[in-house]
Amino acid sequence: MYSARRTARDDGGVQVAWSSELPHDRDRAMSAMFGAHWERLVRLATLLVDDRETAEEVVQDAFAATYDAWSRLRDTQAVLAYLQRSVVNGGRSRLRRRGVARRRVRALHVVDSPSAADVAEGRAETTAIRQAIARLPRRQRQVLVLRYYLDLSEGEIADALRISRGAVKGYAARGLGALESAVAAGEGR
Amino acid sequence: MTDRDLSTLVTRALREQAAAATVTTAAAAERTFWARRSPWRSTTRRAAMVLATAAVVLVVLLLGVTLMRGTGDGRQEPIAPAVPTRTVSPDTIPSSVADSTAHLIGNGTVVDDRLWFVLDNRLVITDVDGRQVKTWDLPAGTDGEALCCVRDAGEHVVVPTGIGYSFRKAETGDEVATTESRAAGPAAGVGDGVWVRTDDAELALVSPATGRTQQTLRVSEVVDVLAADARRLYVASRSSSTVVGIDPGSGDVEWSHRLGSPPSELLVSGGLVYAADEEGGLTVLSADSGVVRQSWQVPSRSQGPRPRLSVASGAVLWSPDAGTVVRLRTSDGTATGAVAVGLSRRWDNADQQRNGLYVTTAGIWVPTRNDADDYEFHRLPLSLLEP
Repeated sequence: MYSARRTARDDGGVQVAWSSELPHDRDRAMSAMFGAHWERLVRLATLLVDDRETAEEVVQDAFAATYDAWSRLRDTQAVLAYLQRSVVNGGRSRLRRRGVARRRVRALHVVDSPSAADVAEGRAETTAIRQAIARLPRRQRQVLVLRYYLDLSEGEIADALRISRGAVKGYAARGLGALESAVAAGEGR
Repeated sequence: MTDRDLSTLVTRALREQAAAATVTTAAAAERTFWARRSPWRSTTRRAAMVLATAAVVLVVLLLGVTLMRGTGDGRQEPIAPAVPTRTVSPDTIPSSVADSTAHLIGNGTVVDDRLWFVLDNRLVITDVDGRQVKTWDLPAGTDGEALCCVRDAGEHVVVPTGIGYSFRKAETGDEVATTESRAAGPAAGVGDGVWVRTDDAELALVSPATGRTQQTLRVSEVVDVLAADARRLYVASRSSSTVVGIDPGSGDVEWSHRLGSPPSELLVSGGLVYAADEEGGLTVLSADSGVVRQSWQVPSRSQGPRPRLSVASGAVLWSPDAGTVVRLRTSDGTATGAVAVGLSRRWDNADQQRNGLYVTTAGIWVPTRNDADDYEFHRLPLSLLEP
């Protein structure tokens, strides 16, 4: 029997637990997956691509790919992993194909300046981090998003991005180093 | 700042940014999902669709047979089993593996057995073994869809950028001239000049050495694909699926031929014009009259990049999809051999579409991805295509 169980997370997010058996009725399964995962995956995709419309297209494509690959997937964990990997790969692919990576960085840089209210509320540091994340090279940004937004382990990130664990460590260390420098530079001003 | 502080800050920043996005509801998204697949969803509708499709296919077949009898044209014949097709795989064939670490995107071009392609607004050149040897930054918006090699005394490569065209020395890759264009994209070299698109329906003959415009020409439809030889300019429009032969001196349309599907690539060689379409079809036309000489169709076209056409080893090589190369005789456009490159498990993922095959006189280059997410080039011998 197919089931998805939603539980509240400490940070206000939603954690979804799945039964491991892969249901034969993929239509029903897809409906349940939309309910449980659509929003979370779109939010993930918005961190990887340039705009919401593209993010939603990426996630739609990921669901379509998962639907088509259903017979090859072993269990629900494999379905989720496939879906997630498809979103990450789809986001990367969109950026490459449209050549928007640099435009995106510029756009985020422009629109994401800390407002006076942000500064007054002590959010300038967070905004500086967001700007710095937008400026990171694509691979470093992906690793940090998967690590800190999705809470994936090094092994899971390596699997999702099809790179070695060592590479994940390297990208994460370089990315965090760049962010630390950015925050330090902000404090120094 | 401690590592823990920084991690917390990064987590918070990412969650804030993600939370700020307005997301379509899951129910609406699901409706969109099923709407794209709806005709096949229910068993009843599926059966109805099968019957309806069968009826449409029957009508189309009858219509096609009637038309064939009426015109006497050679219609599209299946490649298989008329042409011996060998199936090979980069995983199993003993090939030399080059260690390029470039991500290969878009259509590149081949100059003196070196690959040129555009990646994330950078122009990349490889050596004859497929290793990346040089890169240059290009303006934002550049794509590699219409990289074009112009063979003249100096030999240039034309790179459409987001704001025009960049003309580069093939030997060194260095830029020698640029020209502006509102609609940069297709390009076709002829003699010591190159035809480029300056507006949707306007072409210009430009000297790649200086960037100076020598002649302009307006056409009646949007120009999507270009080819040229010493006598004529060949222009294809996707909206009307038409190929026309134009006298560049007078601007007169000498002939016109409507294809079955939108064209995506043109090549002129040996008095024949080869027009590859997006549906796995290839029409071979007389360059002088536009009369159909041959028409080919692969049984099913896999998803992937647009078809490619090139000339190597005395034959025209047509790659209708990401995994097939067909060899055609240049004298009459007859298909004489084909090779199908087997799918590797590396490509079994939503985004990992293959990037097509590159043909040089050194062989057929098959890009695949390695564990570090970079592309490797596997070289298959051209002898695989020989009858």
